[in-house]
Amino acid sequence: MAIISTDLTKIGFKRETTFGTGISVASGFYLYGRATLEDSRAVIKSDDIGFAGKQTQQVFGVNTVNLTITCDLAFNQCWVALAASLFGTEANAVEVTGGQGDYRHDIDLADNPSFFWTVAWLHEDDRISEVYSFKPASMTMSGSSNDKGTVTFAGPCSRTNETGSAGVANTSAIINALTPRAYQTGVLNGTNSFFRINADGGAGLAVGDNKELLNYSFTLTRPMDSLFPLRAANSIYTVEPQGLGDIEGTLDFQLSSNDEATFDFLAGWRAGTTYKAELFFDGAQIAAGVNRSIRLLMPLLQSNGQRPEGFSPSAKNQRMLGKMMFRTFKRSAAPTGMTGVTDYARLSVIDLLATKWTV
Amino acid sequence: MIEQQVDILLVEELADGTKRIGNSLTLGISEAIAMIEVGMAAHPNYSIGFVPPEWTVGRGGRKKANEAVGE
Repeated sequence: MAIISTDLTKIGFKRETTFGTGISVASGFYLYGRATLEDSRAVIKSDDIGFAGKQTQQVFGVNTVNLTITCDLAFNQCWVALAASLFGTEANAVEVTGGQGDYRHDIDLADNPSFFWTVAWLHEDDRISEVYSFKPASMTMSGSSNDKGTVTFAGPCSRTNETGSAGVANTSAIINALTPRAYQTGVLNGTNSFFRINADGGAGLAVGDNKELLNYSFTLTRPMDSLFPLRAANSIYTVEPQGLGDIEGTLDFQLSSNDEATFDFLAGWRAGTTYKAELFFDGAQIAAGVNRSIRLLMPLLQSNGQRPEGFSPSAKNQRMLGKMMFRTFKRSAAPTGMTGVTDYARLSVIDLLATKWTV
Repeated sequence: MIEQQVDILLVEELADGTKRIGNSLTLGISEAIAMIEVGMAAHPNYSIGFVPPEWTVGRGGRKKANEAVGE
């Protein structure tokens, strides 16, 4: 009835168990973030001659739905649920300090996870749109020093629906009843945050491996295919998308100077040197326990083949700042200091949620 | 007899005086228990200061330092 702006909408999401079946997001997560929907139906027109160039009709074919969700890299927020569903393996939460409510969530890479979510939001104060079976297929986590980070998820979905159509699972009352989790912006600065990198076969990462990071970007992509087999009324919607090709993980970063004594991009590229790395965001303390934190561990990194940027004199009197794209790999055994971390990356977050994010 | 090797997570004191769970470390079980008891390390699946029961049960309570596995 009443018009609302995007500031006044609410986005809720909850994990489904049957792909293609939307559920109520009641008691699900309240998303602090932005959502962009692509939803299109193929148009089928006649190829036959005889219409004198004047089409008389069209019918609709497959319905392709993709959703992109972008969030600030904040502490204690449900972007972690989407990350966990993309990575695919989430350990039970562990309370780091007994009785203080500081829970650690370790998230690792599974072979072929099957997590998907119903996402619903208000577009008027009494009407909603919902997206069934959002299956995150890619994640980009990026940011700069002294700034908040951003995390983006994109992936295919089954279908959409909205208030007034048959089978709608959600109402504005359901979405309005959701409550947000306590929010704390994560800024990559302060006494304790760091970026560390060294040889993957060497000693565990320590203070001496800290680098003066300007910016970074980490991506994880699981290519997925959508298939639209004949299955009665649902034929126009995809069955659950499955992995299509290898999982790709990348990391790129830029440091404050080209100093081979600190980090030698060119030698690393030329020799194909392998590394391990850790990015750590520190937040406020949880009760008398440890601090809120976001930690990304990468056990094996190597240049993706492209010569590092920032080593050519392309303009007058510019600072030359190296930057290289690394690919992440599965390591045969966990490197020193990263027990249990072998596949591409581990996301380890400490927040207030006592249960798994993927429930 | 070689002592059982276990994995623990180091508890690191941060520059602002708070703590974080840091690198993992593989070491002998008796040393691991000692480090957990003084708060320098934590078992990956338990809170700081908590020695997992499976490390001590069946061994007459708390394990003694340098006790070999299987005794």
